[in-house]
Amino acid sequence: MTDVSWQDRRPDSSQDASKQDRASLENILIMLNGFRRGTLEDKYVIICTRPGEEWRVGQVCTDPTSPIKLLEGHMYASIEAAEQAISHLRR
Amino acid sequence: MTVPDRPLLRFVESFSLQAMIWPTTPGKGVQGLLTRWSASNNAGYGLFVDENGCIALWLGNGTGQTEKVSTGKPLLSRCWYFVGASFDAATGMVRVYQEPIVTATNGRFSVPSPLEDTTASVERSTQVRLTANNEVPFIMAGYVERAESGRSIIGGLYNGKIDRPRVANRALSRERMAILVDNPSAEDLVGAWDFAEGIIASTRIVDKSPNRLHGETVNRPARAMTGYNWMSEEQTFTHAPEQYGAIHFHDDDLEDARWEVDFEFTIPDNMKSAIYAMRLRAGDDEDYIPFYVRPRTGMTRARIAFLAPTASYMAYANDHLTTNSSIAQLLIARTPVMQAQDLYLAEHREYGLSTYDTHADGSGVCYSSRLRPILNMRPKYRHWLSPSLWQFNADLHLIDWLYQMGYEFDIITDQDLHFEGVDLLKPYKVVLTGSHPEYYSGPMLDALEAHVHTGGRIMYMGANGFYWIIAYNPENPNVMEVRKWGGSQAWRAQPGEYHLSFTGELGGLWRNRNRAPQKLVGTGFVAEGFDVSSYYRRKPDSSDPRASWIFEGIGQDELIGNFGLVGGGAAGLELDIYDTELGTPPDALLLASSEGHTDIYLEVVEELFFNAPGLGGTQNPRVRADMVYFMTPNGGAVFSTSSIAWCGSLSHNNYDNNVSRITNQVLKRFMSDEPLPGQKRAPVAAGVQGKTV
Repeated sequence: MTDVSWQDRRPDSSQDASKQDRASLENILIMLNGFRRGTLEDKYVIICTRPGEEWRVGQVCTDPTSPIKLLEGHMYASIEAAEQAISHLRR
Repeated sequence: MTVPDRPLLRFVESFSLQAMIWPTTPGKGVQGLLTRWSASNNAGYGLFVDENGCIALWLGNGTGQTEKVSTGKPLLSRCWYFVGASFDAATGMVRVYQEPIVTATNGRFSVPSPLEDTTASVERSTQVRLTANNEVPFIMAGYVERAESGRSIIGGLYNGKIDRPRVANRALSRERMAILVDNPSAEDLVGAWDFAEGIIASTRIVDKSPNRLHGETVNRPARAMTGYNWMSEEQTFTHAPEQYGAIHFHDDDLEDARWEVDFEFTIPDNMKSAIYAMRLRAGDDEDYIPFYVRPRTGMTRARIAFLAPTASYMAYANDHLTTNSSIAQLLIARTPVMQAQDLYLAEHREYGLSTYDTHADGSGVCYSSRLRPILNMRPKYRHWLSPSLWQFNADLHLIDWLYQMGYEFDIITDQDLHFEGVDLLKPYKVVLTGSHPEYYSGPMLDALEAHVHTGGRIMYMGANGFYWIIAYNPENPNVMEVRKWGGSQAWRAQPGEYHLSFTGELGGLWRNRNRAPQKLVGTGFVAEGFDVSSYYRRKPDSSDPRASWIFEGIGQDELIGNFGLVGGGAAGLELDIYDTELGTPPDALLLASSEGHTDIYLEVVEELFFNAPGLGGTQNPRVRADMVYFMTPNGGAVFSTSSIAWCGSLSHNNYDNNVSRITNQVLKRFMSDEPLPGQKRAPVAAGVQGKTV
């Protein structure tokens, strides 16, 4: 565990609102990331939404009350098909 | 932490509050430190970390008048502070203090700097006067948000440590407060709580003042934490309790969900020992609550016991690894596949954390409780880490096989073993472990060793077993504790916090206390990877007359377990190795070893001295599972598969395969009264030693 703190990353009051939003976003990402620096770009997951029948592609995102975002339209009949779709998303 | 409402704490005149604190998320928002504050009507008093991350004293009369006096200087995280405040009713003067206490060893900094930006002493007069019409408890690390169903709902949960909290019924000077930190005086103080007393197991918090305003911790905040005065020369609270006067509070601690009871089920007298589940249905939704029925004491008839690794299930309970860990995908070399339960847990952190998680402030989770819904130890749940199943569900592979083969067996659990010891095992000829019995308490390890040394037989059906040192809480066995350091770990305990608060013993790995798993079962953790599994190949020892019976019907060059439900092979996920340096008995037979592992499999960190290229499975000969067999005095024996994936291969080809055959041949021989081939001593009842053939 690093000694990175929330305090260190609080947005500076001189920053504009959008920058503050981004700073908050980064705080959450760092928290989700085990308090290690760096964002979670390209961190996709597959979610089994109907056992044995349906898998969807999701992305680990930034809202702690909704940390997984299901991507619209990415619904597949097998894990393999979902994996293939993710490989396209990463290009 | 709560102290029941008492007249002594209902100040209407002067008072003072003080503590040493080590905040971990000062920027989170309002957090209560020492409060008797009712947020529903803004009544009472309290010392807070305010919305700007500064220390503040709040006063409220409950009729609309409030005063909030802040230092105006943000706290630094993970830095010790003296914080205090006083209110003088005669003059209306409020004073608030905030001073960093930095030593070479007590926090993240040791700079010889005045830290002026975070040091403050402010004073302001107020017209607000307190009233006695506020009947809420005295809370530490939060404040009373509202009352609901007769319970106080606590808000403003504080993240961080508190040490040496004191309350006085007069306005103390800063100098007097400084003296009271370590010399609490009955003359001044209403309450002086000592968090170093009663650390072991207890939820009780002792007030050292004559008023005895004892309190209770709620939801198991971390005890045995280093205090503001920790000097690093002592490493445990049992040696220097005065340096362990801190409790680390987390806003996501959970010991008991305290759900209301919906139904109860009385186990019928004739219910067979087995694993059962209560099926719940609501519309189209379905869930299962598993439970074990163990044999009645003195009524055991089976020769086989399955020892359910429930401590390990608790360690992984409700883990958030795939949402929180950036390396999830790297560990498994594919995109993680999550289940509905994972999504739900990700959004509902109130179900509590696993010992693989960190709290919201980044500190490791050292306690896990089963007094809460545990969604990932349920039938039909697939864990993202395994290509198939993990822990509870993976062990159902073995349970299924035992039923399919027609074996009679009892089920006992880790908790039973911890509290009953070797006596629990005595009735059985053979004890089977689960696929990943990773978390072991001292009494559990002692019991298994005593079993083997007194003629008992063990089939170790997995890998990475007997690894972490844990303790069950002596007062509440529904809670276990682990301190992670020195091994392959999801977090690392802070310096000085390696010892278990439940027992005082050193935590970490058993191998670091010279009790490596090799001593008990011949093999111990060496490598892990979670992509695809592999197979074993026989070794010369498998033809030894003492062990050749294990391989009857299996060709010399036949690959063992090149099939299975867990990654397509019987050797996979986590692997154990034969190692005489770590205690594999000298006469242990190395029957077979796995090979052909991918570079996703890496040797574990506790085996390494330096990182170096070539540690992956394609280049490192130590990345392998070693199947081992040895006999012990008095007719005992141990057979170890050394792979978590083994049990996933048992059902292949309608249970007709060489993994099933080997397991069957060992189990049949182990459960019989006949001496094992080459065994010098006959099997006898456990606990009776010295009989010879």
